[in-house]
Amino acid sequence: MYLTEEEQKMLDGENGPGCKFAMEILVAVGDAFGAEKMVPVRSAHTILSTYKGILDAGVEAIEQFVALGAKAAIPTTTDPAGMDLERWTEFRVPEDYARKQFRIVKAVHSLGLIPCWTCTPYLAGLLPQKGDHLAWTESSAVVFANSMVGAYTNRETAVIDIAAAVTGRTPEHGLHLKRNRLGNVLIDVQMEKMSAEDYRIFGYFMGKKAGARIPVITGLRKTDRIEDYIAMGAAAAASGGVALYHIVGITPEAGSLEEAFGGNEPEKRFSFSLTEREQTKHDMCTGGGGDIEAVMVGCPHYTITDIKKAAELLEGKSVRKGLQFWIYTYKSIELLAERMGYKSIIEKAGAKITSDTCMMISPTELWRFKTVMTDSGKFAYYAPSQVQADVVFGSIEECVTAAVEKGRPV
Amino acid sequence: MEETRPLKGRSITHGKVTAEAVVSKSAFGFYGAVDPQTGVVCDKRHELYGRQIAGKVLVFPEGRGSTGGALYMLELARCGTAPAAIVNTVTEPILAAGAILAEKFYKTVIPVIDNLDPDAISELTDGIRVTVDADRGEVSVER
Repeated sequence: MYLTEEEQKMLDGENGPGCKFAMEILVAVGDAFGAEKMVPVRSAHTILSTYKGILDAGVEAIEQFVALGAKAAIPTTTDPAGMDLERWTEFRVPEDYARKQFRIVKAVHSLGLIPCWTCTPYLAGLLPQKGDHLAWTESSAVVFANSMVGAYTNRETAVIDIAAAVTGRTPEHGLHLKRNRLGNVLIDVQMEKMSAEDYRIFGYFMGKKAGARIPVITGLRKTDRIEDYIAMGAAAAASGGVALYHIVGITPEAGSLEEAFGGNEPEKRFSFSLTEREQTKHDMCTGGGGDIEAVMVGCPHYTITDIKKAAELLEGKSVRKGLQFWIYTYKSIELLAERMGYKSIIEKAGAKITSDTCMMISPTELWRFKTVMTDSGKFAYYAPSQVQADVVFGSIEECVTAAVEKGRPV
Repeated sequence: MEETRPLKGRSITHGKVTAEAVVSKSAFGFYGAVDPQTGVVCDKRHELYGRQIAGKVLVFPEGRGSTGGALYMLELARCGTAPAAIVNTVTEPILAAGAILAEKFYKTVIPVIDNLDPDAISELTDGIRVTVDADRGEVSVER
């Protein structure tokens, strides 16, 4: 592939062995995909952040970059860690697991990454602009950056994200090219109104129908809650691998149906009405009818608005004995929740706010829950494989009701 | 031993190896599907469940599953339980990255060839010995 003079120097080792190693990886990947050249990227986001997800090979890989003296050349944020970095013992994380996680933390600091430990880096300090090229992993962040912001990123792979961070480059293929960003399936939303829960259900539906293709959505009215788009995209990225969607009249590359499709005809058409909503919600639950043992929310990480809502619902109530109620977010939001009094309301009700991690990429399977409940479309998809539990999906209101009342809800 | 005319594909990595083929008719993803300590497929829902893939030529139509698959391949390379070669019709970025990283980090060369014609891939039956030559983009069957 073609390399600029500067990129060739990186490959020749003029910027040090870490940068050379990173560039060798990127050139091999670029060649494998027929990329003609590299594209400079403004930021990277890495999932080389959790021991549960990256195994020993991932720990050794990130340490290898450190050993070669590599440093991030562009702002690079981290996905959640594999445990709450302060209160991990409370969540029964084994010590040998924690030791490996702290090796990752150390490497992250050595590489000069931004340790925000969140799946929502665009809220935690690194909002891209329209047209920016990025090298992001974390499927929910990728779909948000591509769709809502109009930035350009593929769903990068772990380790490649670090190579991009060190060089400030990634091979130009896939969604970095305008011609690959046009819609190919149409989904018409036929709903009178959309609740917060409906957006999540719709996201799951979108992923199931679109697969890895690019859906164009019509009939979806604008929501004031950015959280709805975040959760919707996360569900679509999980249930189907959606990396980019267009909402006609709302998202930056879809001023009109013609713009979104680039004049092409949709390969397939779907509609989403109350019927599809009910069927999808049913499909999102695997619950075998047992009692809910844990409620886990905050996938993607809860915003302060989400936490306010949960606190209002939990205020003056008490989570029933033996049930775990965990709210996942990142550190700065936990601090805000503390300042605003939400954290004490939540704790008084017997629930917990936990930071720097999430239910999927920390070892929650060790709790051996039989049935868990969530308001997240993404987690509803992954709970059986990642937590080895049956899952019940519902709104946050339903989650709170289930947690405070006896017996099985919904 | 007589060999038939080689099947043509596209090289994703390089290297040449001869080994026994383990063939899946359904899509295959590495994420959570193989025990890195043993190289045995541990995904109960997959047709290759219980099969050993370490040191074998793994043949499947296309990849599927999470982006975590690349790190799983890397972990197999670390543990010495990676397949000897991979042959398929469509290689997604996850699989290519996994094979590339296996060589960069653990000096484990995994020849990967894709773009094999679906008819051609049906000539590769389970248990036969296959030579995968990713330097030439060729797969040959020993008869």
